[in-house]
Amino acid sequence: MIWLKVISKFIKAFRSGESPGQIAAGFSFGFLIGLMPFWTLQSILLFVLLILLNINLATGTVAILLASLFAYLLDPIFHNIGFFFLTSIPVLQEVWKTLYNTPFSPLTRFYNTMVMGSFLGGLVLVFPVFLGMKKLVILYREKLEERIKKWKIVQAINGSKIFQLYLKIRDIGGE
Amino acid sequence: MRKKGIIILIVIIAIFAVIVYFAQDRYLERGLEKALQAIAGAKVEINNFHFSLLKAECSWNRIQIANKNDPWRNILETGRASFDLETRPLFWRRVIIKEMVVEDVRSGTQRKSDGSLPKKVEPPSKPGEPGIAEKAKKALEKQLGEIPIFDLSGLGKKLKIDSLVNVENLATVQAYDNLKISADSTFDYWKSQLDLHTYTARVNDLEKKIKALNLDKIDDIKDVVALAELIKKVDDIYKEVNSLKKDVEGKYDALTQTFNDLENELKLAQNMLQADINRAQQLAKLKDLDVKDVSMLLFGSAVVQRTEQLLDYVALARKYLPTAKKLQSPKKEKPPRLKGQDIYFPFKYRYPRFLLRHAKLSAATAAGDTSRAFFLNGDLKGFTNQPNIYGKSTRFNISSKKVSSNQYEIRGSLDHVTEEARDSLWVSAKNFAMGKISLGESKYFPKSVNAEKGDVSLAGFFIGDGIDLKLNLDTSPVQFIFEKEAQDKVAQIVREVLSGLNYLNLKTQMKGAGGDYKLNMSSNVDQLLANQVKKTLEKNLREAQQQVENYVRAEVDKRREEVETFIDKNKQTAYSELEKLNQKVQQQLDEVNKYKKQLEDKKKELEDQAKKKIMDIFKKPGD
Repeated sequence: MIWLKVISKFIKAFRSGESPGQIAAGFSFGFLIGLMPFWTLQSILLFVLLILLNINLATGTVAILLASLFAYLLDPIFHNIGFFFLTSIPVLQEVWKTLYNTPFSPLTRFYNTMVMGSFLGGLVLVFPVFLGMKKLVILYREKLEERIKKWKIVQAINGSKIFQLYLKIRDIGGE
Repeated sequence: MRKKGIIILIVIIAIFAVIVYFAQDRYLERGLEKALQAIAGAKVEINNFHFSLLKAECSWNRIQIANKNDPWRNILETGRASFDLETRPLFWRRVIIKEMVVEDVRSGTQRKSDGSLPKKVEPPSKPGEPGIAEKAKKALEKQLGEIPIFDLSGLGKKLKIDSLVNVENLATVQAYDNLKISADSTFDYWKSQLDLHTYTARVNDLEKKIKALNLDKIDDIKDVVALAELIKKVDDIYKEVNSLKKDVEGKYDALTQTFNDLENELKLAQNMLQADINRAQQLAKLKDLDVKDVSMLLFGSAVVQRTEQLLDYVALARKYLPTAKKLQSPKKEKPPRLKGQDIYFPFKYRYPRFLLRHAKLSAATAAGDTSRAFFLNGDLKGFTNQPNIYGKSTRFNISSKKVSSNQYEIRGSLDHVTEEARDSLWVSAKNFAMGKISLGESKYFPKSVNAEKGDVSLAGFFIGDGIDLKLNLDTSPVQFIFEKEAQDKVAQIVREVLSGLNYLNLKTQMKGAGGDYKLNMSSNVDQLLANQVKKTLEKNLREAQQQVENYVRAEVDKRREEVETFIDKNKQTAYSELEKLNQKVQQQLDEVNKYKKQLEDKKKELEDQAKKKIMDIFKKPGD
């Protein structure tokens, strides 16, 4: 039921009181976290920020799941990008050497091709993702919400016994 | 900032802290046990392991490492151990222990459970370059296998020499075969050189030229000018005959040189005979009983077994304390998905992945079987799995005592800082209770020796694949234990000599490099036993040796005679052909000389006649 809850919250978030910027920021944080291997200093910091900052947590959670799948598919590309930046650019070698010898920075695991590749990929993609998500929320609220409600599949889900049961359980739980 | 978020974060941290608090020690303990088991090849058990990340300290109450060769005993057991970790290297996931104190270090203690690990079917590993232990073991086992069989009683019996000695492999026989081939081609060459047809044609041509001069009608010549012309022609023929003669003489000299060379080669081949006889006697395991062979026969197996154990430890140290590898630029790998590849950059700190800067070892009491337990005191410095990064060698110094008053001191240095490992080890044991030492199975020699007390000193240097190992053992009193009754005179002699011995001094040296290692042993038993046995068995040994020698000589003589006959036959043919030719040429030369003389006489006669006529012209009429 937790997944239903997350998806429900994700859809609800689109029409919640939060601003499109907060929703898009939550999604972007989740996207960055999901793209990189989790046990790195930057991923944990981003996760803490996602929890602490006043941004949408549900879209962040969904973004983590989606981005993890995305990262799995793009793994060879991230590995190649990371290997290239870590080994083939002479100017950066001194930077990496200095970072490698600085306390705390090894905790970021920047020297791993996957971490470096996905981090750089995330940096490049995060702003288009943020802007795209923001526009999508605005579009949803203005035009898509009423149309989607009329979709037969949405009506079927809303009318299904399982969904009704879920709503009852949710209401008992105080939601 | 979201208030609810702070609560969620606190809850997550709290759950994490609880899990770490309750599970961390057990988790780390299992991890450490597994890592040590992989090294020791036997069970490792740690009791009450505790790790504190905040204080960066670690401890355990007891550790037992089972002996993989004797799983009901521990090769190492310690009591409480505690140590502090350096915090800064932890950022790089490097574990560096500042100082470790280990109490109650013991060895050989009895276990309550079997310490062997379940056998795993390991996939066949790729054959790599053999290490120092494999190379040395191979050389030692080869040397042990080459020791002559100490079964001299059988020497009086007829040996099946032809099955023991392969004649075709004898160097002398091979030399004679080669010489025959060489002589064969030499004679073919000479046949072409001494082709009589060529020379006969030249002689016939000269004969024709002489006949054409009509020299039998010299007396008819009245003209001095015609005579001078004839003399010139005869001189030319003389020169030709003389040249032919020199040519034949040259051939004669060259042929003589060829035969001299063949004779020298025959002598050289003959000189190899003694070496062949020695080799054949060795093949038949009949070489003279060497003094050093006695020690090897008696103690070789036991010493080799212990040397191999020591070499295993050296190999183990080299496996887990690897030497420096040449730096290479990172190669692109294909890692599993979402794992990536770690790229390593030059690291300015000397932080190996694991380093134990200093361990103080001590032992106070023994557990279980106290008669076998040892009590130790010692230091271990610079123990690391990356010696090239640490830049210093690993050193250890352990002194130990046993309840029954044995004293040991073991010092060592494992220098794996560069690409070439340089290990050294010194062991000194005083008043050492050796107990019963198995000597292996033999018809003549004892099965084991009981040595009460002894002093042992060992110094070993292992540089690259070079070994220089010296072992000195002095022990007394000794008692040799024979399993079977003496069956013959030799066995009786061995028994008498060894029973009379009260002390044993054994010196062993193993030296070599690159797979070529030699083990030399000497002891106070050597000369004593060798002399006694040799004296008794000299006759049998000599007879057997003579038998082999006669066989080799007979086989070699057959080949020699064959080659000599072949050479002699060709020699006679060649010289006789050459002699015929020489005679013919000499005949021509004699004939030309004869005509030359006649012409000279005729010339003189004509000159005298001319002089007389001139004188007659100047004579006064009426004189």
